[in-house]
Amino acid sequence: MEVIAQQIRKEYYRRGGSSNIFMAVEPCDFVIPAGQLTLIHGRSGSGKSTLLNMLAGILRPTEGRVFYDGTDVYRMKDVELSAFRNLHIGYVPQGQSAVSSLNVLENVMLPYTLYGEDGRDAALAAMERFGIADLCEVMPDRLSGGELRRMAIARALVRNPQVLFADEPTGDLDDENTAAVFGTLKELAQEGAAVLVVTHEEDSFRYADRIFDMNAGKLG
Amino acid sequence: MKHLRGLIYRNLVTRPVRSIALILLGAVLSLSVFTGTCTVQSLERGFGSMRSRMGADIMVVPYAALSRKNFDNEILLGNADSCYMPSENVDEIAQMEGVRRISAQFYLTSTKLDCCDTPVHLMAYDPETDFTVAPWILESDGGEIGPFDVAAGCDIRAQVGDTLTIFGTPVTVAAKLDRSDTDYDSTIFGDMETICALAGASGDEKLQSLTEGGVDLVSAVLVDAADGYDMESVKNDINIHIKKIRAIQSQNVLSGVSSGMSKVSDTAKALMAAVWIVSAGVMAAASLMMTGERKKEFAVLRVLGASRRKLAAIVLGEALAVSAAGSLAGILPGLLAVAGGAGWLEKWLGLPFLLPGAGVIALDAALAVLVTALTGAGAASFAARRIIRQDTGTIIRSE
Repeated sequence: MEVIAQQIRKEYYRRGGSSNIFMAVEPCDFVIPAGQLTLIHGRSGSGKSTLLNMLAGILRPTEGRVFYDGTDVYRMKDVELSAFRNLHIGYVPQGQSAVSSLNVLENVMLPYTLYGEDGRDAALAAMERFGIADLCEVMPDRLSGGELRRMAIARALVRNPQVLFADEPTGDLDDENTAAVFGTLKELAQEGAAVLVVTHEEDSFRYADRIFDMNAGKLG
Repeated sequence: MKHLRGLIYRNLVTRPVRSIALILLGAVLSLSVFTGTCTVQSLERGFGSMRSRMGADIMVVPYAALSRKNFDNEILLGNADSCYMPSENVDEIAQMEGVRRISAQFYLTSTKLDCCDTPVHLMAYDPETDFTVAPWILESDGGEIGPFDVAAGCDIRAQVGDTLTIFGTPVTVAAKLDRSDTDYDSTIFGDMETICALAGASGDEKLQSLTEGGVDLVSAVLVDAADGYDMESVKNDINIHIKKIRAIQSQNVLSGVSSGMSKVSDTAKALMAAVWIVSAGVMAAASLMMTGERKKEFAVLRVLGASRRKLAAIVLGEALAVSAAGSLAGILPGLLAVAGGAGWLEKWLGLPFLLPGAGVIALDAALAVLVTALTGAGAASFAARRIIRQDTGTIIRSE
């Protein structure tokens, strides 16, 4: 599945300052090709997460369109777009993203649970892949930052999505785990998925097929 | 955990303090709605019961009875009184213009019998002219109340056909009265011959002297006005022409009771409304706080594929679950309060109080559960609306 963005931009209204309009992402065209790991690099506040969220179908652009294999996702009804995200898009959020009332296994199963499906086997397989299979019954508040991150990645991949978005996926990980995560993302891309990673770490460049820089809302 | 229900359940059990606090709030709301509704219904039923017993348009009692008792709350509620007036008054009243029919009653005494926990009142009446006791007959042997037959109030432990021994004299229970929540419930009604015989057998000189040589005294005369006559005028005529008595128009008395009942009923309704408003406010605030704390969690669910409808279902489901649990928790103490407190409330209020039947109480309980559950869900709807309107992309990035 290929993702194509046409002239998307994002503005925010804010009080105070010299202007009421803050341009988070300047108009840009962008493609996330299937089978490649695309990386957007930039400093904090450069607009890369905003761009990623617009591409992932969770932040409506102020202007522009986003197509998944020719389908404009922002023309879908909420129920359709949500089901589409559930089935085809994996998303690793920035920071801690565990549902605190659920244990690790239940967190990883969530994409299935939301649609009344039994995702236990798929969740166990994803947890095995990221070395957290022994943490099934553990609650998130007992996990380290690295374990939480691996849990979030396992959850994003549990449905074998065709498109994967990861916002600073290795922020809390040591070198070994960082390599493991990027290795997995690369594997996923090689299996045919379109993968977009947003990061400020230059160490990750070696895993990328394509690298873009973002600065002050401008994609370079 | 395969369904959203499991997620809702886990969200509630992992936050026990908040969940228990909301359940207790729901219990208070449910308790107040249930007991309040039962109280209002009981007052209305008691008033209706009193009104139907007041088959008479006018009651005539000895003037002394008025000075001794609060007429509204004593005589009209079926309380027996030992004040008497001469029986010739009965004939005089019967002959007055505008009087359609009359029936006299004679209170003998109150005495402790094995068949009742409280003193039993012995009352003579005329089954042939009676039109106020007969409407209360729930069950009878089919015949008329004759000599040594009695009609027993519902608190008398005897069934139709049983024999009661009063002052050593056997009498047959020929009829059983329905519950009125008045002294009628612990009264035995017999004709004059029966009551005179009981007085004679009592060994009490005072009672024997009252009935010696036949009864020529009455405690109360119940009057029905003829069609086309103004009750007020008939009552005034009786008061003007007959000495040492007092005729009282039923409607005037009832309006006094009705006014008291309305005040209590309005107070109960106001309390219910106040509890409802406070509960709804606290529930709404709790839901808003909860969704504020869990903004990131809801945003995560959204990126994992939860639609706005699913997020709303989670928020509303949690609210519905705690308020429904609370409402059920409030019903049990409510039932105990209604069952145990009815007698105390009647005495305290001094108003007729007649609990509804089991079916109506069950409906009241169901209503209380429904109101509480819907209040919880309604209060959470503000939070649900806020959650589904939140900008997922911004929340997930900024938290």
